[in-house]
Amino acid sequence: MKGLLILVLVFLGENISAQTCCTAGAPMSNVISVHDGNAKSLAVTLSYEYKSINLLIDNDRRLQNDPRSRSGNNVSLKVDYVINPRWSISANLPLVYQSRKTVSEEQTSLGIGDLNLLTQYKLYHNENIKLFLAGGLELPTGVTTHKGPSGIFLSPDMQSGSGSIDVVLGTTLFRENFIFPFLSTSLELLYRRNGKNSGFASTDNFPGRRFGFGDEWISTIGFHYQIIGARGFFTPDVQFKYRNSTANIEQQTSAPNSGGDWISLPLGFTYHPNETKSIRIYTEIPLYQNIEGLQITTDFTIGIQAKYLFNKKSDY
Amino acid sequence: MKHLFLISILFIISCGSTEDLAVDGGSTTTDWLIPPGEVFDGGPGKDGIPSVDNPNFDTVAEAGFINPRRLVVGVVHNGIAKAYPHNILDWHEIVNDEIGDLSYALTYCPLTGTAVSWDRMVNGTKTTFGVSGKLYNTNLMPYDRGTDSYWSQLRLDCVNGELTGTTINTLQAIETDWETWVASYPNTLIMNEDTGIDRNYENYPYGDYRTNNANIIFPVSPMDTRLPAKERVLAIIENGDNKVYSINLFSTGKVFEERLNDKDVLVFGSNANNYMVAYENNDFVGFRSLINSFPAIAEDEDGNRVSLSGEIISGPRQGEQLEPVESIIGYYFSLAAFYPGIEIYE
Repeated sequence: MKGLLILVLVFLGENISAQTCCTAGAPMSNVISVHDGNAKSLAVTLSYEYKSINLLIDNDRRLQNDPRSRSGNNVSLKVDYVINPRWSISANLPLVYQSRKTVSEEQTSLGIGDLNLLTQYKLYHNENIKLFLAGGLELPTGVTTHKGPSGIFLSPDMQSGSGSIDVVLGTTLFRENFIFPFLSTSLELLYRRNGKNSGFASTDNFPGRRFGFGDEWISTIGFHYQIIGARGFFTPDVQFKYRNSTANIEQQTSAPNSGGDWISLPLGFTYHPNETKSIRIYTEIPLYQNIEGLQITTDFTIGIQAKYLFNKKSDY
Repeated sequence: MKHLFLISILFIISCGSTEDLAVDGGSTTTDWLIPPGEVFDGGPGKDGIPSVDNPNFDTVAEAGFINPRRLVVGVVHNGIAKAYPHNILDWHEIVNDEIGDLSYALTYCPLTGTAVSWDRMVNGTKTTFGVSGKLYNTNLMPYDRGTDSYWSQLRLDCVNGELTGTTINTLQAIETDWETWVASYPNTLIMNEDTGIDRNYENYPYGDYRTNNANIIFPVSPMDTRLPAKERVLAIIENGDNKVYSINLFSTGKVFEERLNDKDVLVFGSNANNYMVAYENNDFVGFRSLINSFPAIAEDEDGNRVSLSGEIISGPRQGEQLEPVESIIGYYFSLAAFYPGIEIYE
């Protein structure tokens, strides 16, 4: 049983889920996290996520008959390294494929997204509780030069990267044996300050356009329950996520029809066949939106993550 | 777990060979009459802002109460008047409509505040226009569904595609408020909200854009600051002899006589009644503005009275029609960008 508890610690110690790459204005979820495990251990995670972006919302009212359809597909490779029992670091690089359809055209783009670098510090821990602080940068490695065949740059939310340096700060409180054994809870608070791309769509003769995605606050409360099976263990989880985004910046002012509040329900299921491997599937379902103006927003997300852990030696 | 590493390696390789896969459903030519680097993708995509292709109308009685200060764009042809409210145009930007045998597209760009109506018969073929989703100098670029060519609303020509270089055959579009329009044309029809598309027409989609001079969403070049960016002006476009008139010049009603491009031009306007129109002067003398005498807006020395649409509705020359000169109402910054150095009436 002790070994299983260690496994729970290893695999549930995933913190700071932030948004990363620009997927049609609705960046990837549940991919950025920093592994918390044994010192000198290395974790590699390969993820795939699909976002269907087809909810047309006017403030808090759903509208019909929208001629648009959007989707985002992301494959992401993440490497985590635990430096010592308190410090760990993470690097995540996505490959982003996006599609925008209307009644009369389809546009797609494929390219490298922005590189996310995070570091995490374990501020406090005891037998049941851990408190983490994390911070990092998202660097403008992503492609921002996708064009249509008529030679016009696609809009910023159809680009694979943002062209800006973004700052991510967060904290996570993690509690095991919450109320009863094998139930854990996590509380996450994340702030993302997005930089501005001052030269979007610039050419030799034109300085380009200034654009920035809105800053974000994300609060998540999650519950994870461990089920022991004959071949490893299973961890279903349910979370409630609140996300607030300020308006995007166009030139010098706030862009209309951007920003707002979203509440969603992420659900996941993780299978751990042994201490070194895990596979997680998840979905995210919107519950409520109150957004600025008219926006097309995510109607569901699904994803899968495969993780492999090197150096599983426990330091617990 | 070997598969994980294999997939990871493939992932890294694929990153290294990433290419742009954009596919455009419309024009695929990169030949533009304007700098393509100054054309921007607005975000919604082609037809992502849906044009209204089967507009429905109410009579004045059917329409009930409409805010008298609500801006409308009016079209008059063969005695039939139609009004298109700004609050619907803000969401659709193009209405493909007809009056009798006249087929026209009423185009309206909320980012430049400009309405231009033009003939849908292009090179002998009737077509419809849609919203391309692209903007030049933050101004609407319609596309025609016959050839997928892109047009510039304020340049008044086709700038990309098969019809490149074709000029727009404009029709008069009169912008004013509902109170003035319905007083001028009591039998007018007004486009109603039954567009077949679910939108909240009581919401203006661009926040404080109409009044915030600093709020310019897409790049504009050149940016002329001689007047406030969102000043509502009438621009007369006469073969390079171009001139703008601020609505603030007109107070409760004025008439300016001009000589532009070897034409005598009459500019009628009223800030109080929210209209500015311009016509070629056919030897009328001494027009003065009339206040609250709709459908007449001005009267000359001989007692000829003219309506918003340029018809002499009473007086010795009743029945004559003043010929409209090419003119567009819009935000100052946009007209000054398309017609650099445009003269400002002072």
